[in-house]
Amino acid sequence: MRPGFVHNALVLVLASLAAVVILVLLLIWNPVASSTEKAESITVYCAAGIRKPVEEITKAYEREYGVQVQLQYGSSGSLLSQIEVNPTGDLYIPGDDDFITPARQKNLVREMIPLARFSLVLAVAPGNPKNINGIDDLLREDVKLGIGNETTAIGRKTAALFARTGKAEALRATVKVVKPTVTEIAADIQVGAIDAGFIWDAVAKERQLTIVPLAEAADAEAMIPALVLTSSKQPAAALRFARYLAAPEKGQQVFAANHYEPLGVEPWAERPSITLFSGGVNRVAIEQTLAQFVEREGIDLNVVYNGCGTLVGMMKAGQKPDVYFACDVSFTHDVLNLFNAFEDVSSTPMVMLVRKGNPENIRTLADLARPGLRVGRADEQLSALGALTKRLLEAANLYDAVSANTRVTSPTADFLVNQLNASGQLDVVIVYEANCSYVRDSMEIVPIDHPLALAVQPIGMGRETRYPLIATRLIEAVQSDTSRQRFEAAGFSFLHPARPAETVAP
Amino acid sequence: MICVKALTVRVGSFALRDVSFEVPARGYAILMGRTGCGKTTLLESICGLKSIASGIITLDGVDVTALKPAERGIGYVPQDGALFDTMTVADHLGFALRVRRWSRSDTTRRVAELAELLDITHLLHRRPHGLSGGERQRVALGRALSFRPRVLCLDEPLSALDDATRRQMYDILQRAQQHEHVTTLHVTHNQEDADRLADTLLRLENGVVMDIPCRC
Amino acid sequence: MTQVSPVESATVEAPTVPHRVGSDRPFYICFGVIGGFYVLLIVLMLAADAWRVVYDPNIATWTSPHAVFAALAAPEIQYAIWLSMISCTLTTIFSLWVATPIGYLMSRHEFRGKVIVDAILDIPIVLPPLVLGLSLLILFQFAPFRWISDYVVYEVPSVILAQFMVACAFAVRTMRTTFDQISPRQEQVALTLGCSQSQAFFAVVLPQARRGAMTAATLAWARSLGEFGPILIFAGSTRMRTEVLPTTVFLEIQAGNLTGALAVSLLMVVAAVIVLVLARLFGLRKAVVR
Repeated sequence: MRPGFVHNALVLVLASLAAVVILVLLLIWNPVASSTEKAESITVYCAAGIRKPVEEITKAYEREYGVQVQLQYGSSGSLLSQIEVNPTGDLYIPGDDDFITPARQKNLVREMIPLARFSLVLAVAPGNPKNINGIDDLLREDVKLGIGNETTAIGRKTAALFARTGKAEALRATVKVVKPTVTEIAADIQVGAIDAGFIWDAVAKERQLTIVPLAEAADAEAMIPALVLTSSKQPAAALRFARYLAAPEKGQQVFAANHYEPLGVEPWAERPSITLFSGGVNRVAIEQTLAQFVEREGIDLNVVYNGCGTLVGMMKAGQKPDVYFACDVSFTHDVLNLFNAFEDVSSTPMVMLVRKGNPENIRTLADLARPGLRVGRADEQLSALGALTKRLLEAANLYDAVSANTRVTSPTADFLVNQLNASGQLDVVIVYEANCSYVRDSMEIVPIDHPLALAVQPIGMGRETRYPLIATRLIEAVQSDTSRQRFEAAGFSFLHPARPAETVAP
Repeated sequence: MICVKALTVRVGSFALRDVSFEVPARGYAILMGRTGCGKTTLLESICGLKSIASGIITLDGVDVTALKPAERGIGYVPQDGALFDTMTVADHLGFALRVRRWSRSDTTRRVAELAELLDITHLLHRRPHGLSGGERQRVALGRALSFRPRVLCLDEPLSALDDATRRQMYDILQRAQQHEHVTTLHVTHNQEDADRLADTLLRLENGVVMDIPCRC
Repeated sequence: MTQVSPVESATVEAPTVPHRVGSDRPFYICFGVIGGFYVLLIVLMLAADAWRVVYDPNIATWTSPHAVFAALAAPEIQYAIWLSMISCTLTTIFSLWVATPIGYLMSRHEFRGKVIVDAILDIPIVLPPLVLGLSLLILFQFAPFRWISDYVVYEVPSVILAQFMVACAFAVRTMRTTFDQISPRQEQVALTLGCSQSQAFFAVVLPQARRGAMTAATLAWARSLGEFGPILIFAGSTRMRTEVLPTTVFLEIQAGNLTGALAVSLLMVVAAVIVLVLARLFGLRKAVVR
């Protein structure tokens, strides 16, 4: 039977549908983009004291993502020595933050992600039978006190607390027993071998011991960090697991259930996506840094390069980038409420760009006033460069004379460079030096010796960003030493004080 | 039988008002009228292609006023033939049959029969482009007759033909009508058409249809 | 019926000198020159670009071909080509899906508010590109668009959506003109032959609209290939993800890399010409009447 006419329609619709499916598949299967290889296994050095929550989270992670996580347990210190001797593995989770500094000093670790917090408490037998209510009660004859060894974190925190009370001597004298680990002190309280002991709140709550509130213990806290090892060959995988540990809806639930105070703030996403708004001028300087950052972090970074006026317009229209890198400080004024403090990253001087060999022999700003010279400037209303140029010329008392010579005004600096480059209708344009990186060989730059001839590029983190840690690391990457070289190569001066890329603000 | 009662159609400022007439079953009616007097509008209304303001149209006693064009069972040949540019002549003849899901063998038989009747067998694999005026009209006629309609509506089918071809078409139209037993309403402004074909002669003037005694 | 009166025809006498017509050559030379001027202008413009890519007049040196090829071989550029080709083709298909029904309805039917709908359909054409991008961004802050915002804004779908918004408007215009030019007569005959509206449309109208649909498709495709204003805002310019060829050109120009920008532009022209010529050959081949 000859097919009906609906058949014709069906063929058309199905054929185009098939074409769409094929095209979409082609988009997903992308032959050019290098697919990021998924790690099959990562190695984590984990302090034995937090074995329980970490192991539980690891199992869930392995189940969910099919990644094998090799957990190596030990005391925080011995694990650190192990890493130092044999620099392999991906992640280091010490029992507390005391180990961050030595690990940093030896350049063993890079990124740090805070996982959880716990504090030093005075624990007594359930129901507090000895009626211990303060430091002074510890000095009573009938109270047996246990503390941790000073080589351990708990011992050091306890000693610090003793020092704060001003009764360190008396307290040390009254100590009945010194134990090497927290768990042993807790066990001693449980069996009644001692009446009171300084242990972590998490352990006390776990064993259902009674906690005696002490004014002196208020800030005796420790933090569990996850540190990505410098030696890791798969930092993206390591960071992904660290983010999983720190995600409020994932690892943090387990930490909370184990009586730790969760510190993680970034919601879980296998590949978090953050957005950067950047002035087009800055692209040459940051592009490589961004590519490396994305590679290392295993995230999606959406970059919107555009004129800063347009970017400000987009933000006013409701866009909230996680990070904003402006072309000039003047483009932050209207959006200050969206960002935490801006930091100046770089500056670029305003220069006069002329043809190779400087045929018009332009040496100083005053030469621009020479009759018959054809000058290109940025528009005063539309661009920061234009406004800065006007300010500069007015300060040099040249504004009217140069205005008479101005053949063209353009909305952005790059237009001017291209106009000079592509046509013979201009002799000189006033632009940022950073605009000239591609024409260094074919054009000549004449510096302007004036304190006002300068634009400054600030970077800031969005106030409402879902990923403040990643955003902070991105900003740090832009401010890093490797980034400095790229900025300087692109004609910027780097304003940020030199500091190693792995340093992270506490 | 075609029966039109009190038909009123409005097209922009032009209107047919209160038109009534009848064509007996298996009759061949010629509707005469000047260009622009509303003949085409009347045909389109009968075919269901133009919505009518009021009136009743019955075909063989069935009220088709509310039916879709597809359900009225009218073979329609518009003035220019309106052949489908992308189809072969065979496709034209089989079109209505495929829509009606006839079996392939029935369709083939019917197409062959029609081609024979209209003398277009040699054209079956051609497309409309390049056919002569007479050939086009025969294809259009075959297409309209293919699904054995009760009624055939022809809109100036011969107006663009030269005299020789036109005379040839008279024979074919008569042959077709006899063979297919359709009630035919043929619109024209040519007196010769009426003289040669009509057994009922109607005239549309100032929006009124008048019966004229047949001359033949 | 009316006969010309013989009296009137006798009043004007035919001139005794035979009527002569001059050569047709000036007509064709004139038209050829005017047409050729524009074609030549396009070709020369591209030739100048190509020359500028290989030779820098400011320092009178040849660009090393290696540098040009290195620019084109970069994975970012290759990805941009890839994404441009696929997104434009997808956009074209979507545009035809949408433009065909709209064009048909607008062409065949009168309804209340048609003038307004007609004006609305032109908005994407008259809207400045930046405003279009910004408007899309703003739209995706409201439900229900907000719910899928994470998968659209700054992702590949946003590229296609931005292209679609403009390309479809052009496709709608073309499809409407196409249907306008197809006489409704054939469709009406199909209806009397027993077709439903949809059968008549698909069996009779659509095959005849083939040529117009092809024009609409090439127009939509070319239009979306050149699209970048809304994309820059709505999709960002993330390398290896949402960067399409025009974005590359824009960014390279903004960085002052004239040679790179021109090289990519020429590549775009070559790609476009290849695709459009292929599409026309393929599209019209089957439409040839036997």
